[in-house]
Amino acid sequence: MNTHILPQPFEYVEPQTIDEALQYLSEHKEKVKIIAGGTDLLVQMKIGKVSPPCLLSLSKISALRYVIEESGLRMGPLTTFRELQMTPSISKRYTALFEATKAVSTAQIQTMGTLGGNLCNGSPAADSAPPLLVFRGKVKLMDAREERILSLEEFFIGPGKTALKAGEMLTEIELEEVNERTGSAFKKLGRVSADLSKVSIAVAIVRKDDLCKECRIAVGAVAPVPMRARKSESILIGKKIERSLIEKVSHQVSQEISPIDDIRSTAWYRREVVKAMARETIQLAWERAAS
Amino acid sequence: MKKQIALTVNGVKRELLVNPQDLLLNVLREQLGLTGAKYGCGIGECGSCTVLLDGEPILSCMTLAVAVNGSEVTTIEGLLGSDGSLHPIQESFLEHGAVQCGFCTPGMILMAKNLLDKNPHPSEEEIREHIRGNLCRCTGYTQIVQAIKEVSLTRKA
Repeated sequence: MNTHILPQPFEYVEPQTIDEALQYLSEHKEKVKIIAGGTDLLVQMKIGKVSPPCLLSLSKISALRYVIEESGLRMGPLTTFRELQMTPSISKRYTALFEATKAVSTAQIQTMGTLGGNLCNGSPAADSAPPLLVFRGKVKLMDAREERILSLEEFFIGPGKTALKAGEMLTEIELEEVNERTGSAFKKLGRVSADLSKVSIAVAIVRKDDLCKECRIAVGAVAPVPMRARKSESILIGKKIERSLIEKVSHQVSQEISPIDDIRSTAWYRREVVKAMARETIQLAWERAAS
Repeated sequence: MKKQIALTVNGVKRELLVNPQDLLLNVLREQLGLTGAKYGCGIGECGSCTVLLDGEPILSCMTLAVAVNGSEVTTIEGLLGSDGSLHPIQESFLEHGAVQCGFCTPGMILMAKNLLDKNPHPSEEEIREHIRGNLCRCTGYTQIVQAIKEVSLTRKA
């Protein structure tokens, strides 16, 4: 294995518009791999895991690079983690997403890596997935003929697998509206901070006085896909938040996940450590939700 | 088939012919003779191939040269003054003994430049956070952090 070079030649196309990209995709389908930041794809190509005959680069399509706040938040898939961090509405209101972008690997990867690339790679450990799940993210997928909108939960199918069909691409990520009564937080545990996560978790809570009105919890790297922990959420909804209740929820999260042993951790450790992470993240999200 | 690209490298305009699979790092080192950026891990873990692309840090061993057509690239060679003098960050690295084998140094210094350009007086935590993607295997982080801190202290606020 030589990671010094890309061994296989390929055709490289750089459309300027979404229409041009979709047209090219519809004509070449399986032969094409879409490249955004390239931080995952180029590594896979270097180690010979994939060798696509053609790369379609999105980097010149400025219509895929934006963050617009109107009712909720609409984000172009080509937006980088660094650009998301610099967006005031994200750092102020979508705290869990802001924290996740800071937790992504390194400053260099945050500059290069894109939100869409992170999702389309289909990794159960994708840092952006848990926060997008707790803000009830939706994704817009387009091919040359039509568009469809899926919830992010429907988008993830298995490790490395998404609902994207050949010829289709992700064109927008949409989050629901949040207000000052929503508090959210994200935590990630890796061996060192630049690593992929062993476990990641995001929590969003809508508070009304002393009650938890809404609660969403999502976890990453502990199941075949990034997932919502709905049973755990239901324990908190409508309740007064107390230490004993948070303790109960954290045990439920540990029950609800289906982790595996892999290079980064063991199933046993993930089930143990997720309890502590759930406790801390729920507490933090609760404190951040204005009473 | 080779493609023509135009880049501004360390302030100099360059027109180059590259294959789609050519990585920016190899084009810098082999076509332009700029050997400051280093090949380390090749998979985005070590940061020794770091260069600045339009002022922001990227990994040149994971960047297609063809994809940066029209951009401005700064390598460690670009930090020298027109009279050949060292950049204050380079001076500070020398003064603090923040260089041992030197392999990580170009990446470290470019990360320091990127940080100080945006945040002239970072805390130690912010410095460590910013260089977390740059590995030094001579265990010199303490001196590196001190070197960066010193530049931020001596710079006029």
